[in-house]
Formats: sequence, C-alpha cells, structure tokens
Amino acid sequence: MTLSSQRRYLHPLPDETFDELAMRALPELEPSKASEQLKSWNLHIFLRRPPGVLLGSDIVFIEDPA
Amino acid sequence: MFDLIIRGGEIVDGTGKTRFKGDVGVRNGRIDAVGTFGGDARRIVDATGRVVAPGFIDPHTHFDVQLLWDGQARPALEHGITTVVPGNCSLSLAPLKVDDRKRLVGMFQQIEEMPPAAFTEAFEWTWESFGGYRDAIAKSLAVNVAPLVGHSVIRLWVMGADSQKRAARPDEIAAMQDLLRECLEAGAVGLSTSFVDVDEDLRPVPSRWAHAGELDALAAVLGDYGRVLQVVPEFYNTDITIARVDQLAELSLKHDITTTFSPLFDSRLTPDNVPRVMARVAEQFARGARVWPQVQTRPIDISFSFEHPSLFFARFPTWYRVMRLPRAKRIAALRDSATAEQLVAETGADGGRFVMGGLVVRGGEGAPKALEGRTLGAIADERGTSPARALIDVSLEHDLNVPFLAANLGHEASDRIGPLLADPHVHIGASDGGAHIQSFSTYGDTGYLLGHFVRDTHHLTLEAAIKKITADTAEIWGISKRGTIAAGMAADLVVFDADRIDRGNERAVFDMPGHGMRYVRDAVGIDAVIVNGEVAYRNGQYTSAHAGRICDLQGART
Repeated sequence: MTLSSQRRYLHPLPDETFDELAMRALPELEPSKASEQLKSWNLHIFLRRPPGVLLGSDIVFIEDPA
Repeated sequence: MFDLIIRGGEIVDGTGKTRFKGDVGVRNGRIDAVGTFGGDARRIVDATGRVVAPGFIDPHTHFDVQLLWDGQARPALEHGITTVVPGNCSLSLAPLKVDDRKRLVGMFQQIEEMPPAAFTEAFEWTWESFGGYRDAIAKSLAVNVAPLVGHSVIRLWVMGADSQKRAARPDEIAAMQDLLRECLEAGAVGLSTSFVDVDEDLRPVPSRWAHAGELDALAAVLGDYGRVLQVVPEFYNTDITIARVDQLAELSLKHDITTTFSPLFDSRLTPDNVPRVMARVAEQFARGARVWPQVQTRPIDISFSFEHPSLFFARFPTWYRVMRLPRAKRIAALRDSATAEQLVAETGADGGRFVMGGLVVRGGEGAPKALEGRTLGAIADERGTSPARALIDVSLEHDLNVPFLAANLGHEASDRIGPLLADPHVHIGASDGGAHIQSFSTYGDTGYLLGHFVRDTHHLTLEAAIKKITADTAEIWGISKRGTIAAGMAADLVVFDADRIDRGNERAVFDMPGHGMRYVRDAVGIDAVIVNGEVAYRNGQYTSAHAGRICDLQGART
C-alpha cells in the first residue's frame, strides 16, 4: 500500500529550539531566512500562548500547504 | 433456575446479525442461554415488543471524579451505558502525589470545566497510585469501568514542575515507562495524551512537552501489554490532524497497538476536513495500522452564562479573561465602560452580530421570562445596540444569571454526519461524558444515534448502529467478554423501545457537590438496563444494584 502524498513535517528533537529546527529542516538557507520561511508555514506555533515556544510534541511543517 | 430471564424481545446481539426473537437467560452475572430454552428464573423482565441489546460502551468520558460519589455515572446509565472509559485527554486522577493534587484539579477545571466542589466536597482523597484509585472507585460501581491513565499525570509524577518546562531525560523516560507498566498491571486500559490542552494558567499541559521519542517509548510499553493509545489531536486544523494520523499509524505498526483520536468534527465552514482525514485513515488501515477516529453523534451546542468561564469564549481573549475573574471583579469589569468597549470590539466590526446574534436566551433559575427564547440579535435591535453590548447589559441586569444557548455550532448536518457514523473506519464515541457539565449535556448520544440516525434518517440499520457502540467498541479497546449477547458473555443488557428511544431535552439540574449546576438529558424509550446480571435501571427508576466492576482486559502479551 503506497500512501498518498501529504504535507511533510518534522518533530522537534529534545530541547531543540525553533531556529535550530529551521536549520535542520532547511540547511540550504541562511539561518535567519530558514526561520522566517519555517515560521510562515507554521503559524499555529506562533498564534498561541506562549507564542513561538516550540513544544516537544509539535508538528512542524517543512513545506507549503497544498 | 436462572437468576434473570429477559423474555420475548427482539435480540440485536451486537455482532451485526439480523435481529431475532428470543429470550436471554442470566446466571451468576453472565449470559447463560440465548434464544428458545426452558426453565424458570427468580426475576423475569418482559421485553415483548422491545429490543434487547448488549449494554452500550462509552469510550470517551471524564467520569473519573464523579465515579467517586456516583457509581451509577448518572444519567449515563439510564441511557443504556453499562461501561465507561474515563481518563481521556491525558488526565486521570492517578497516579498522583498529594502535593500535585491542586495542580491536576486546576487542569480538570480548565480543560473539562468541572467545578471545584466536585473535587473537595464529595469524597476523601486517599490514594496516590493507580491501583489505589481503582480500589477507591471499585467500592460502589453500578457501571463497568475501563480506565485510561493520563500521560500528563505520569509526566507530572516523574518530573514535577519540570513536566511543563522541558523534554524528559532518558532516565526520566525510563521512569515513566516503569510507572506506566505499574498502571497497566493495575488495570489501566491504555494511555491517553493530548496535543492541544492547556492548564488553568493557560500553559500547555505536561503531555504537550513530550517529544516524539518519549511518546514512542511509552507506546512500546503499551505494545508489551496490548493496550490502547488515545490522543486529542489539533482537530481544528486538517493538515495537523492528518500528520497526527500518520504519527499514530507509525506507532500502531511499530508497536502493534490500537490507537484512537478524538474528536473528529464536521463543519460547514471546513467541508473538506472530514473527507481528507478519513481518506488518510483509510489508507493507514489498508497498511495494517489501527487508527480509529472517534466521532460524536450530537451537534455541537454550548450554553453559558457569566456565572462560569465557558468554552464559547475561547477565541475571544478579553472575554475569556474577564469570565475567569472572581465574581465581584467580573461584574466590575463588565460595568467598566472601557472594558465593555474592548469586549464589544473584540467580537468584530458588526458588534458581534455574526458570532453572537443567534444566541438564544434559555429558561432557567433567575432567567428573565420576558427574554426567554429570544435571540440576542432581536434583543439588541429592540434596544438599539449591538448583540455583544446586549449580552453584557442583559447579564448585568440579572446579576449574571442569564443562560444563553449557542446551538448548532458545528457537526449538525445530518446528511454529512450520518454517512460518517456509518463509515467502517469510524469509532462512535467522543461523548465527553461527565465533562463540560456547565456548557452542554454529554448524555444521550446513543439515544440520538438510535433515534435520529437509525429511525429518522436511516443512515444506519439498528443492527449496524448497535454493533458500533457495543461489540466494535469492546474489540477496539480490548475489553473482555462484553459487547455481544452470547452464552458466556457478561450480562450487560439494554431493553428499549426502538420506536421511541431518544435523548430528552437538555435541562439544568443542581445535583453536583456543593449544589453545583450541570446540564443533563433524560433517557427516552429505555425500559431496563442490566449490569453484570443485576437490574440497575427499570421503568424510569434507578435501583440499588451496584454490580459494576473494573473491566477485565484481553490478555497481556508479556
């Protein structure tokens, strides 16, 4: 059974910050640009309290919505 | 001689098989004979013209605390619920250290909207361990219980305050695994976790701080015992929900466990949500994963007054903050013109016309009769003001004691919900029984299923619907010897009138500890409910029978 393509995501590693995850997810980009790009795909992490704090259980998308 | 015979009913045995006429004989709490047989009994229940079904199993409840003073889990039992699964959404009352009780109670109050008196006035808190809690509720059960243990309390036990600050170290994860094993050995049916909930200070609950490796380690323990993982996903976001389906599928396949997520809601505002999620669920089932979405039968209604914080205001931060103030300060804030202006502005440029105009004033103690049944929009028009301002003014004029109803906030389209409930990959549940008691009634979902979606809209046959809330539920949760009518099974039975079964109208009662209020619905069309062979409810009355027990579970693999 082949799964259909869905929006790709990563889980944070233990104690990983959002910026660190951005560099892991988008190594081809400069760190600041990687964070900005990743932030735009993951507003659910920034529109909650506390904004931008990455939780261990989070889903972090690494590509645009379809 | 049988202890009990249910005579002359139409037996819907929970397997999906076409109903058949016959008797059910009960001996020593178990079904001993089904069909046509001789012999007499100490007690006969005449089921002529009635359906006889296995007792219904409610897989998503929060009866954790109520069971300590009400082993009948009223009014769930009268609706035919003979087995409940408490401990959902990462919260259970054990294992819990004495010093952490206040913190957990705060979470229960915030997430499940339970009043403080429920935790302080009705029982003596004697336990710390899961086994201790099990023994405390087992003393007076009239329903059967298959309790989950909550991930948040396991994390809290091991990490204390750090459970809401950081990732766990390897030694802490190992300690959580050991503690989970202890709970499973003591009868826990599985582990619950949450990806969305916050505590009373609006901080993410402990389970949300767990990284994927921690959950994987705990799922490995569930795999050793053949137990279930329940999660609350980010149900408001389709992409995230699908990602959770995939995460659960990987855990299911890796550890050979059953997983379930709840809730899955339908909404006209996001019509592609359910189809997309269910398509992914079907793909994962085809791979061999077990990822069961739980779907509730009832539409989403929320009632509230300014007497208590309410879910209705979760998306309006200022309203939410004001409603959580102490009563005197709450009134002062509502009277303060600057705050009131801020509240009105927060509801949108239309003064709340879209989000509040359809609210209806309910009847109830202290509610103004002249306004009863009228919409806030109409009241606002009459007063020449906005609906949001009218909400504030009407509440202040009546000392905050005006109940409002927000009806059909979602999940209300029968032509969409009916086929969804019939989907073979849908697990009917998510009632939230025993929770949110001041916002809506969490009782009667099975009556609504059998009355509305079977009798009225014909989306499910009676046999299919009964199977989904009995045998299917028992199988998904690994509950032994319950869910079907057959010799050797526990005698959990419901006798009802298929032409009448329904849920009654929602009404407010004041039967919680400390004269606390809650919304309930009475059963309609239920003649008798039998738990482990004892008649627990008959002709509108609860009996003194307390034959419920902690459920036996299918065998551990280790």
